Amino acid sequence: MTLSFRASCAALALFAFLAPRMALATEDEVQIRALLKQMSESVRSLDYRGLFTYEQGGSLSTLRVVHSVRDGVEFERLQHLSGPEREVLRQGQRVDCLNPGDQLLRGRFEVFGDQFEGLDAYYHFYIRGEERVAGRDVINIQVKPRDAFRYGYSLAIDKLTGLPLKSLLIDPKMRVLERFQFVELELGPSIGESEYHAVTPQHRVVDHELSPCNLVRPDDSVGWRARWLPKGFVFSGQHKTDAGQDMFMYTDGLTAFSVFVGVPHDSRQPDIKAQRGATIAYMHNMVRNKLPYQVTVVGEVPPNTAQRVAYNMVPYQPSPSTLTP
Amino acid sequence: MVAMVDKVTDQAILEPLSALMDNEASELELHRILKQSEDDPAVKETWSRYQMAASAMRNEVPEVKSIDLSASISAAIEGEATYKPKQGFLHSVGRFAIAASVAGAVIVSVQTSNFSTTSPEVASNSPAQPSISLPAGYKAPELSARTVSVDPRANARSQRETRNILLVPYQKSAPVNDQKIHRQLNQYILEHSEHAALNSGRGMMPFARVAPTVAAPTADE
Repeated sequence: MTLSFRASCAALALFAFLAPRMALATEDEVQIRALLKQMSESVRSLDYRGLFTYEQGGSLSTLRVVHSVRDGVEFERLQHLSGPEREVLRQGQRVDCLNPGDQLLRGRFEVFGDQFEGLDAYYHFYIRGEERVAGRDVINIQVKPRDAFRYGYSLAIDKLTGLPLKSLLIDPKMRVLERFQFVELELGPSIGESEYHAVTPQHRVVDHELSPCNLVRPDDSVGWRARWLPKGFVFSGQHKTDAGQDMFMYTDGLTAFSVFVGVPHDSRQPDIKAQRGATIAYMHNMVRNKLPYQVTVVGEVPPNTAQRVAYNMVPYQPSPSTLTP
Repeated sequence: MVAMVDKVTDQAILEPLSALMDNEASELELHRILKQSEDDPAVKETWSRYQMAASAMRNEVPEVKSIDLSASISAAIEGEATYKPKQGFLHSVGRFAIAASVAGAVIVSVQTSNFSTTSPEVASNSPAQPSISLPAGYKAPELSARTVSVDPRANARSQRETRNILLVPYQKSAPVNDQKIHRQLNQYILEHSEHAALNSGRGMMPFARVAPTVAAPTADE
């Protein structure tokens, strides 16, 4: 009895190991794909108001989030309830505008070319049972990276709505680098007009047009290009910052990092690695075409990934004649 | 190369300084070093040269110049529970603990990229909370890096929200302009959050990562 149980366990483990390489998806995989898709949809399309905590490096902050959709357009407000008063407003993105990250989570891989195999090629996904978060039943999904270039996650997804109610970022030694967790969630609340406005004078209105909408084929960066990216990461837009740097963005659907290219204050400055919670920044000065540049990679990725991307950013012009200074 | 002549000739500070480098300084000595390094740039410079020498001996980034550890160590001490002097055997334990936790302040931040514990608890990476005490050089930093400083605004210690960015210069050359780089990095993290909030499937959650000092528009930017 025990023996056969073990044998079947072993067979199961072997199958789990081989399964992702096979075209046949297991029941769990089908369910996980559906959950990720639902998560990506509901976080943008539902009306909700909630309180959540963010924990990092031994510190805990509490935040309030309001999200609603009016006439197909999103409205979001995030307010810090602890620490200095801060507030972020984002407004104006159409719900049917899918950013590259949404497209990846919703399984629209064909957009990114034949070589893109889908999230299953870069992460193992497991269902880890159910629990309760913010007084609601959730399904836990364990997300383990298949390579050392990204971190893992533990996601708790609301059974009824698909909203992510808990998200842990996990390093290769199973240490939690950060934790988001809802403590209260109100669905379909009546959101008063006043809630569409910031309550603190020091609020920030953020740009919602950072990433392209509904790509139909892979997009290319202009000006600079990453010669190397961890597998599964796609270019998700670029933008000129207020300070004049070029910002290039990449995502694999669950993890995002950004690359900033600008002029160094001091070209002799050594490489700098900075860390805040799960966010790493790697700053590297380089000379390209006889000009000094400062390349900074910022994201929730392992330091080695950030460093390697930083070293592999190269100026890139479609026409080769423009390359010579 | 810097001439190996100590600008600081006061043995009263040089001795505790070498003791500190050997992890043998008492708490009193440590405070005196910190105090004097704040007041006297020469002491600071000597300390930072000792750090370099120590790094070189451990084969870590030997050419890094002008590293200032005093700020992070001050911050680490500030964050510690009050130390009660003990006598005899306990006294020497105390001496070790102080030295070790100071070393911890330097190294723990590197620890976060080195990932050593297996318990699924939230990792503490604040140098101000040196809960992991390691002797100096005990754990080789992953990318042969050393932590040089913490956020200069760490003065607001009463506000315990972790806003430190740990700076780790990697190669030789000039001093790091902390203030400017901190501001720049915070700005980058903010802009990155806007990106992450669009492309990682979890709504506005990534904005929670933004440090308190930058969410509000600042006058000088």
